[in-house]
Amino acid sequence: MKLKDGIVCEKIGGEFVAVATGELSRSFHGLIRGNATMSYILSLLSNDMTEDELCAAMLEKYDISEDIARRDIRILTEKLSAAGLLE
Amino acid sequence: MRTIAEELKERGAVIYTTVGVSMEPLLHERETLVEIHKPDGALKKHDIALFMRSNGDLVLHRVRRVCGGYYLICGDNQTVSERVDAAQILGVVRRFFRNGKWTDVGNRRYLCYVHIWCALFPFRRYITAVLRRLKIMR
Repeated sequence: MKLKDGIVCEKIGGEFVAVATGELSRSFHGLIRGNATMSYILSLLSNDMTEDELCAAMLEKYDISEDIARRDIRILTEKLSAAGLLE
Repeated sequence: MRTIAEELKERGAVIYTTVGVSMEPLLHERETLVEIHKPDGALKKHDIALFMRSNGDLVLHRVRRVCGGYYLICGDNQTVSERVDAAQILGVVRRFFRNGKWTDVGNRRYLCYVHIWCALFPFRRYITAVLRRLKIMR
């Protein structure tokens, strides 16, 4: 899976916000709020990656269990998929 | 889904993709993001304000003049100012994202653009006509 072109994630206040620009903003008008982990997963998804690859990258960066990494990845990718932001 | 006004009220700040060409040549339709904050106090001349018209439209235009209790506001791509009461102001732009990078409204190059563009206001109609013909702006 890969993030469609046009998503920008930025820290605002104490949290991260992802919004659409360009053509993608015609179909996605909202914003997705999250933490630094969301920002990291979004940056990984600028390249085509499988859930296993995302999980491996998460385990390398954060001191968390595989279960938690997969749970976080699924929560975010389901949200992105529902919003039509994944290729 | 919550509105921008609700987001600003609750969170104090919001990022938003600009729509429309009234702030060209600075803000490009659907290509520029703006970070808008709830204002701390009265706006200053040249601030970019988010306000709500009486018909409910949300508009992002620049303050041309600060008057007692109201502002004269005009888009960078417009030649007619409108009166906006202080109560209509919802937020003010702190920075914008264009061409892959964020620019703070305190940035020197940006301030240079603002001062020159606003000083040329009496000639804006002719300048924008030329820029549109050269396809530099929409």
